[in-house]
Amino acid sequence: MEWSRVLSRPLGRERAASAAGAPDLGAVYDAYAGPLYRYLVTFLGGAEEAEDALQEVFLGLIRRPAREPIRDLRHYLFRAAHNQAVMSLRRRKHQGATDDSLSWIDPQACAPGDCELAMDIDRALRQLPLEQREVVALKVGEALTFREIAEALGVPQNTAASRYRLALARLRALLEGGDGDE
Amino acid sequence: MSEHRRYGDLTDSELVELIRGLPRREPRASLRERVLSAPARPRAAAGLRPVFAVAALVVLLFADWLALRWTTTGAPVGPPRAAVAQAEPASREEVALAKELADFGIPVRIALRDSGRDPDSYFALRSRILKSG
Repeated sequence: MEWSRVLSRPLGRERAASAAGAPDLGAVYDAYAGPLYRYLVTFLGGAEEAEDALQEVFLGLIRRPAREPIRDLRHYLFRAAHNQAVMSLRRRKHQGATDDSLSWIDPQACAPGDCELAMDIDRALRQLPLEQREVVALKVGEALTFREIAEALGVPQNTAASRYRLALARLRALLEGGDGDE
Repeated sequence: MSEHRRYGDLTDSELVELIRGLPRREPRASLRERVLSAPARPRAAAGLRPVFAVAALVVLLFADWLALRWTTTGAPVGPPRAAVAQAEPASREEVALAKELADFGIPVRIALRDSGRDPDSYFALRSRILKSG
């Protein structure tokens, strides 16, 4: 597959089990589509818009010139998703579209006993400011390190860590019934 | 109330684990097909941009060279073909006119215009003088 030449080193867990050992786009999609989609939903607040942005991210990967290899696919994809989300948000503001608001939690898919909890947390997450919400999505939702989050968002590592601490404190306050303003 | 106390009693790591245990959103299955069936054609414009730039530069330089060549090697203004064809040995009067023109020291056409003479007759004269030596 031609697109695979953009990778300067073999993939890890997303490597395809092919005889040639060439990375398979399907395997990359399966490994990253979910995390990227949840990040995009968190950022953009809408499922459809997040899917469009996700498609753009993968098209960018597929059509990337082979002479520009990617050293760290995970970093590249989250960075590309962030850039795509920023562009989509700008376009939406320009078009004057209304804001949707979804978190990466899906309360409708919860187990019967967890629905109330899922709805509480979903509601609290949606009340966080965007800059805190995206850090929580990457740290809690996708288990990225602060270094990876900082690289994806283009902010200093300390800023990412500080936003995360603030977000957890606010989240706790919201869950306890406060307005989260401390 | 018990719910609120439950959240309040959680440590950060417990809260994080609680959130991680909740169902998460996934993209629709149809998106996978859409992405995987997308043409893997690299962006032609991106790859060929340097080639286009060099080609454009070469074309511009060539056009510039042609323009320079045309302006510097263009045919000099000479006597009308009809005047040359009528060339005859110069008379004494014509030789005097030629001397007079040379004495002006200013562009011939201007001199002729100021003296009320026809430039074409000057070229015919010059041609005849050159021919007769």
